[in-house]
Amino acid sequence: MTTPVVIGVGMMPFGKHPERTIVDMGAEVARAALLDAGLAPTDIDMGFFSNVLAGRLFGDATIGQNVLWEVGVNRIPVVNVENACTSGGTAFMLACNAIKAGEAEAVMVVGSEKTAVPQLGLINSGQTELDTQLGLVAPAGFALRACRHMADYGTTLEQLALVAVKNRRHGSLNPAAMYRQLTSVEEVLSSPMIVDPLTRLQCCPNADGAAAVVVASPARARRAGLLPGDPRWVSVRAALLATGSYENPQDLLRWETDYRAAALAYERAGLGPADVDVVELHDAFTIGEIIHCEALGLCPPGEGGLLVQSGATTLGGRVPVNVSGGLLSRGHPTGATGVAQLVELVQQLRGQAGARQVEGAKIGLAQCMGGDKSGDTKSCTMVVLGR
Amino acid sequence: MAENKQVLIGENLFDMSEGKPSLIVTHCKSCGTYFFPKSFTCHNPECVGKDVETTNLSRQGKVENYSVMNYPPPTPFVTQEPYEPIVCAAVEFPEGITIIGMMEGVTAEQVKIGMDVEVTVGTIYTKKTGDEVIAWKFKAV
Repeated sequence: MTTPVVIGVGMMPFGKHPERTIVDMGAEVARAALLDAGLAPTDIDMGFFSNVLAGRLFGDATIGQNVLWEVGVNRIPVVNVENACTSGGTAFMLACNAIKAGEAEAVMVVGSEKTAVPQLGLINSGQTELDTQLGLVAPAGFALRACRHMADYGTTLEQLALVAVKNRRHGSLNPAAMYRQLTSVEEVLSSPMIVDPLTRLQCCPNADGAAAVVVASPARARRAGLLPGDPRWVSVRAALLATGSYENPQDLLRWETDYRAAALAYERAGLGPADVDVVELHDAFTIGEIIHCEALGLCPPGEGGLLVQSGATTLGGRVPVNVSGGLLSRGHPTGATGVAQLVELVQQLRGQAGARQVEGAKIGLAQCMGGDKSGDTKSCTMVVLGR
Repeated sequence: MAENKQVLIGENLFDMSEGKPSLIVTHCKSCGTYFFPKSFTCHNPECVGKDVETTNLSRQGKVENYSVMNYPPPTPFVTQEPYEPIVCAAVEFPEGITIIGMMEGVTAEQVKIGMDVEVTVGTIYTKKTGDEVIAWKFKAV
């Protein structure tokens, strides 16, 4: 089986960019990724573009073709992908599948989104979804789990807040992060309550931004001047997508889909939780990071709060989580997030992450979860990269 | 003056025929799984049965989880000023199905895990036109 190689990345600072458009941000990072890969526009033979909300917020459609046309990539197949917060991971999985199938040698994946706009407000799970009609907001599914996690495992408010404090410290080291000022447990807990027990600083900020990667077949990577063993030879050990079962009664202490996707990712990558050096995961809300760390096997179920408290997931710890600052500090332009996670891992594995470098990182894992249906999650993506 | 209408958030969600509301669920006769809202088929991938029936769920269940939404839900939801935080709960019913909904008549301090609740039906918000939007709710017993 062909093992795809990530040969180029492009990133821009996430934040409030009222003057920018989805197309020009996407074009900026696509151009950067081409340059980083050392490829010309005509070298790209397939494109996947990830965006979630442009249709709803701006009435736009099929934006991927516009983005790629801006950088001189046209004629080739271009697919627009929407899968909520997992859109970027889904687009990447499709790109890898195209390479494994021999249909393409070099594929561009771009995610671009604008969510720092007044018409968004609190994000919901789709206008016609019964949860939305009932007034349940996206954070509610997380808050319900936080309530149960505290009751059953004794997870504390302070442990929840520590996730935000840690990811802000990481974000302070990342020039592409939206929030770079340090914060404290007191500040996090005294910020306004959004959905009990999640306060505002425990919810990721809406942001504008874009990220891109170029993934290639090993043969194409060699022709681009890379060799296996180079720090820049970042291979894709697993890239997969799982869908919710919506089984009832639900397990409201975790997401079954998360555990199922993690087990499959480790199996396909041929490694286990102890082999992972750096993790980017979906910390849209602090409780999310705690439960996802358990699903990824970084600690036993129920000990996610203790894990963050122990410092194991801080830069310099046993397995640093969200060294980019995560969604909580980097910001969450929905369709760009999954791709930005991969940019971070590639920079870490190449040893190019500057002040937030995880020393000697060889295996990186990215997890994202998206969409809600009856309180369950709709999709979960896992990507394992290695050098 | 025109009467304000009552609008249901969806069709076939609850049954009022016995005076008190029950949620309408689908029960698979082959594998025993319950589904809400009602469905024309069984969604259990391991079940080959196609024989489903529509039935009413028990009227009472227990609070499994809860939260308080201190921020107004987005559209289509309409909230009044000042906004009253909404208590929502996941309620497990004896049939083994968990359903999320709003609580009525309790504050954030009063709601507890394990609390016995019953299904009620009431207004969850009032549209700008004055029409009331009706859904199921849960109330402590």
